[in-house]
Amino acid sequence: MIHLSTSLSAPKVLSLLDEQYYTDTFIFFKKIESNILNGYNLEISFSSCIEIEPSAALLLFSTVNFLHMKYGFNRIKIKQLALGSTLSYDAALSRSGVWEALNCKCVQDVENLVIQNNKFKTSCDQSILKKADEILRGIKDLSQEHIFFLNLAMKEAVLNVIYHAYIDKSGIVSPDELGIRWWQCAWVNTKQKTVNIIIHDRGVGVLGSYKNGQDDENALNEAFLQGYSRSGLVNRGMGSEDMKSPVNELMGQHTLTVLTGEFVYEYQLRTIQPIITKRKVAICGTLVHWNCSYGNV
Amino acid sequence: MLKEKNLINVAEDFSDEPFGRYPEDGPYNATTFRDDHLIPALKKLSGEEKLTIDFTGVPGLGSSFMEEVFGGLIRAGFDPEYINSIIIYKFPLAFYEIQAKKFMAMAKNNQKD
Repeated sequence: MIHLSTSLSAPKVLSLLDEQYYTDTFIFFKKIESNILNGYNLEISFSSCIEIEPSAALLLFSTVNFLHMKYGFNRIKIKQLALGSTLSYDAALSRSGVWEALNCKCVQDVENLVIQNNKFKTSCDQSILKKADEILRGIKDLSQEHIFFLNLAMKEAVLNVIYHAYIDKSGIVSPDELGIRWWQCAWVNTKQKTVNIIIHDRGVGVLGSYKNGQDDENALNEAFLQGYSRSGLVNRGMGSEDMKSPVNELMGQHTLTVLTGEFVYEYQLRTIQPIITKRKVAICGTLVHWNCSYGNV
Repeated sequence: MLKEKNLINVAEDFSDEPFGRYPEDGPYNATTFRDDHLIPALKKLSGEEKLTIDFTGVPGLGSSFMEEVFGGLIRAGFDPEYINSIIIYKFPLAFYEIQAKKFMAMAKNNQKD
């Protein structure tokens, strides 16, 4: 089949959280998908882009990688950054491994992201969590407590993907040929002393799988309380506190942000209660992001 | 030997990557740990003997794993006070011990309801 070619420029800032930029960011991701679904080959340029935030970088990888694996690796090409461009000077971005992850040319390249322990990778196998643990252990000054609680939180997030992400309220399992898959990254900014652990699935979203008779905000809040589960069993739903544990247990400034459907759930100690906001744009599936400071905090 | 009888080193005797509640979640799930390792070790104890569970080298054991192991012990008929009196938890953080005791208490409460 012959595909027409087209190009797409990334917006100035790729951010899922900044009020000023997230709408353009989501439109950009939608355009990537729609171009491929409409039969175009796509070249993406980042020449006008000056910043890519960690969670946007993971969603970019998830979007491109999903389309690569589903429709062919030749369908999306990433235009190489020009020397001297603003992004080329972003050390944390350069070291993140996102460009290598975006430029996979075949399934083996995708598997090599795991084998070589690129900070950006994808799998249907929970054993890649051990790879993330290796990355955390390699971060200078990251405390044992950080490593412990981030591992704990990641495991729970992955369990949620396996148990819930691709199963809707009526119990219908709906992963496509890519399986019960998630995309993850461990993004470290050694200058700012922050570590970002991000996990994204392309499933039905928290509210898409959660049985309840309440409005959406309350249901989302309940889904992150210990003891509540789509199963309704009293001993299930124990892991939601694990997701919050880096925020609750570690010294420093930490935030857990969950984007699911049209909702953003933000949990940090200073707000006491989680903040839930509804937007006009929706994310595919669920993205979970821990942003944690470390070192002399 | 005393060590074999009274110590479970989770990383060495079971897995350094335990995951999930049930056998369908993978080979190193909580049900298998409880039924094939923990309960047999508990049944071998006699008199004043205690059982040490060493979690060293096991990063991030999830609450669902801990609930299924320790809450599951109570659902299997063990008494939380007895378990608390004979198990010694070994790990640099108190987290696992707190989790285990909390889930046993919750399981006991759920039996009363």
